Amino acid sequence: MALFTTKKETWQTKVQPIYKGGIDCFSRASSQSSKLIHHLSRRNAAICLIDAYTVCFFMHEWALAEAVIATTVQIAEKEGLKEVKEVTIKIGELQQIERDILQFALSQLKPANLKNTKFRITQAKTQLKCRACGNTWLFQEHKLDKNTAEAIHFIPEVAHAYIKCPKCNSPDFEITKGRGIWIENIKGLRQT
Amino acid sequence: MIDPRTTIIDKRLKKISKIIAVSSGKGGVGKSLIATTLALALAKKNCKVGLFDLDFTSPSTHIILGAKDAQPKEEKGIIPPIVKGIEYMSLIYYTGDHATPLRGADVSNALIELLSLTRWNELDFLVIDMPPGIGDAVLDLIRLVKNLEFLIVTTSSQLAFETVKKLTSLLQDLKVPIIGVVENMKMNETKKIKQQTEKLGITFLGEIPYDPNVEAAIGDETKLLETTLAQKIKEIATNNLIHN
Repeated sequence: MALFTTKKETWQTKVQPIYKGGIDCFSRASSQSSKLIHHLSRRNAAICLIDAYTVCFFMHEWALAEAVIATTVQIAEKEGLKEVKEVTIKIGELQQIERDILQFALSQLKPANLKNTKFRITQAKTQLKCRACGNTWLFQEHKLDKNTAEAIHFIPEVAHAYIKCPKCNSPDFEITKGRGIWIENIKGLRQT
Repeated sequence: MIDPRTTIIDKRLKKISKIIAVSSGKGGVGKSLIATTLALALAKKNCKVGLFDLDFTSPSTHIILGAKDAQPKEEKGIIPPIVKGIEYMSLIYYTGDHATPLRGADVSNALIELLSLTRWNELDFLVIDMPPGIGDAVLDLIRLVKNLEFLIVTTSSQLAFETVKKLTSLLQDLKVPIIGVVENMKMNETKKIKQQTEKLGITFLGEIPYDPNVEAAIGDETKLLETTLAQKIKEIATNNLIHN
């Protein structure tokens, strides 16, 4: 979920024609209308109207945040941590996860025992390697249309349906770096 | 490095009473048709049903179902659309008509992604159309999904049944429940498959005669449910799934 406020004119011309929603949200709004339009242009996201010009997106970063929280809690229990200080999350460029939305979802979802936990999110460039000719290249070299980028955002492996090796045209490539989401490390204090 | 996605899979599936993997030892035995028709038949019996196409490289349930313009909704994950009364999920939403060549690790990753993101409602049954054989998808599903049960499809051919033996042997070794074996596209009167199935200690669920009307019913659920195939699947569902 993410919240955005927008100017009256933007709301009327760009938001309202696309979405109509009920009220089902909490938390405060931030003022980032340019980001709102960016999301509107690339996502078919569920949306809720908070007040006249504030909207809330329930994006799939929420599901990833849930997974990060559940895993952090599980590891903290397994390792006997009384406090989790910091969780470092790596997000691969291929999945195009919105860092601010993920951060927001983490802040909303974290349980009381992770109240003071800092979630540090870093991004990794996506590197691809052709299994046919051995060529390596970066995902950012591809100019993808909106629908293709959207499909890869949900399931990064569908890149194999749209991307081919720039050198030999084979779709048989390996994602060697920067696929999806990983917990790189968890720092905490052990129970004495 | 820890992959956080697998931790959430149990939560995503917790509202589903029964998860049935429709599987086969080899391709071409009518597995996707049986999976789709089973899902439709269960829905007709007023059960809440989901259908999940895990045959990533050769998906076909969307054609059988006639799921033309359906699209999932993004809402704290992915919400499958309701197609012909069934919650329906497939990679096809994201690949369209493009060929999608995936190696084992890619299959595993896509499977984990879909299991961790898809938010099913409360369901009586989730029917999974599996890829044929005992490859990555089968092993991953067994590893990641608790309470998984297999319904195995074969034809009358000894070639098909030999691969069923390998699949059932794997499942028995891993102590994964097998609902039973269905003999599809039967064109003779022999009881060989029934006898061999029972010899393996597995329930023989029934025979489905070859039905030439099925091809014309593809994409039309009303016609499909009128076929002999559907009648037999309804019997199998009533006798083995619904009352349990």
